[in-house]
Amino acid sequence: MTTSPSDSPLAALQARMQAHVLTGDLAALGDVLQTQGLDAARRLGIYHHAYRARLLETLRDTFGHTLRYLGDDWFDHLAGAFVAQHPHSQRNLRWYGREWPDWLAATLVADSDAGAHPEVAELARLDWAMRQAFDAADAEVLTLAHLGRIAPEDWDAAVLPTQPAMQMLNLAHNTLSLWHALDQDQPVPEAVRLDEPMDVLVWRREERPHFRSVTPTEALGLRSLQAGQSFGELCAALAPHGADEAEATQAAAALLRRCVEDGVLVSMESIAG
Amino acid sequence: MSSKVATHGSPLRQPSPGFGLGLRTVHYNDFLDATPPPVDWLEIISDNYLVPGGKPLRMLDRIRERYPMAMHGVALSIGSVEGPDAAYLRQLKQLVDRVQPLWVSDHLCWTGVHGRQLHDLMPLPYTEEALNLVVRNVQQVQDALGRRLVLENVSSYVSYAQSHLSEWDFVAAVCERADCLLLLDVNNIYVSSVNHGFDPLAYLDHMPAHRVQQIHLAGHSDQGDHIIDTHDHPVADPVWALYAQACQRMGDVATMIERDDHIPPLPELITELDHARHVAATVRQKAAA
Repeated sequence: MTTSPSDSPLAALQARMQAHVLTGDLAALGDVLQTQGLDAARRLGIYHHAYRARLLETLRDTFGHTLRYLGDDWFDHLAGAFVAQHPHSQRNLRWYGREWPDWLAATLVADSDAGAHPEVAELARLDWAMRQAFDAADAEVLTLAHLGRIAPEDWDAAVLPTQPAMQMLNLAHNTLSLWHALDQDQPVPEAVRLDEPMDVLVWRREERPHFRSVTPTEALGLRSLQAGQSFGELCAALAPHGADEAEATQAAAALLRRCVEDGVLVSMESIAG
Repeated sequence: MSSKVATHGSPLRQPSPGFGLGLRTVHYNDFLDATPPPVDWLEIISDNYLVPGGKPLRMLDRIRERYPMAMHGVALSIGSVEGPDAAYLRQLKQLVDRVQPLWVSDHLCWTGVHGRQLHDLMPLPYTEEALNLVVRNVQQVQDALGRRLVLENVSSYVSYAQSHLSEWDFVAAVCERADCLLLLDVNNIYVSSVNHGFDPLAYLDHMPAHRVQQIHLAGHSDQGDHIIDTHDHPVADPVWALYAQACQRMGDVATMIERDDHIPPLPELITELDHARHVAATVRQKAAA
């Protein structure tokens, strides 16, 4: 005999229990026996509390620099509000917190209690990018020998894939200075808006996530490579108005050299495979 | 309903590989040391390695070359009314192919419904409906993985008004009817016995000894009027006593210590594991005398 899952007593019980865990809804009180001197509300509360504590701990672990910048109390206050609004739909906790940087950006605005703190969302973005780079998919790093095997006539159409761990961030504040100060336990400078936004490359090298700031030209080229554009398209992207072709090719070659040195590019076969 | 898992003519449980520990990242380098620590086997949290790539999988491969491993999951949700998730099972199968584990275990619980994950081991009501559901789900998982599943009894803080079976009768019935194996968590039995006021020996007495593939030992946190299963302390004395009772009833069973928080240096855990060896050996000697 098969019971329809959607309207079975078990399904209804699981829905009530889940509602309590997520929101503190008390419909499940009637499902829980009161024994051993511990009343039903306290018994249910153990699960409600454990859920929030677990997600909070996940955020603290993933967003370590954001935590150090904000301090325990402020971080936990913000994270608690985020957890209450953001249940998780993935089985693996690794993915929890993807929306946290955007949430911080939308929360720490001028008319909030704490005032505007856009640098916090940027720190969180960098924390998230570094964590994602840590266990992103593997791929065989491209070497100069690989490049040497590309025939001269094939260069224009050659596509040089970037590693799956690579990400590009655009930061409007001195977030990297904040990060380094937090990293080295130095006094954290005041957050200030940069004259021009800064592009940052995040990638993985020898199992460790790295980041570095890049010039606007490099950023243009890196985004072109990340989008899967060919070497010819990369050169076109890098050619400033009126600049000659040789200059653009030279810039593209310099970018490729740096990318190979950093291990940012990967072999075509490793991506296809 | 029959399962594709071979059940006839093959022994139910594998011989014990001995005494193991849970593999935790802080101990990676210890296990890659030139002199491998004296641990017979390791248990990995499967979900920690269901990631695209990078260091976790590389370390897993390197340590696997040195130690037999069992896979222990936390997100199968075998008791969910929605049934096993096909995508999760595919990922798990890929990891099984990579690790070639001694066995694959998860918990007799549910972890979320309607697309939500609670990241907790939620207890089931001990009803005929839940029993039927779990048996059906276990058979699906066993068919997908091509092997018997090992299920662990969880610690719990609630007893449902709907339950009309005891927990031990429910656990035993799942094992027999689904033809699966059991990961007996002795600490969980103790924690629940205090939280719900039952006799932990009655629980042990009802376990199908021939299906107990593994034993878990862990520490807990005593809150005065209840106990929380925190895995952040050494194994407590009453749990050691219960372990001796389990050894008497189950015989030679693979045993490991789980530590998930306040993780001490590896030598400390190895000393604790040596105590488990000592308890098991003492029981064996008494039985032989």
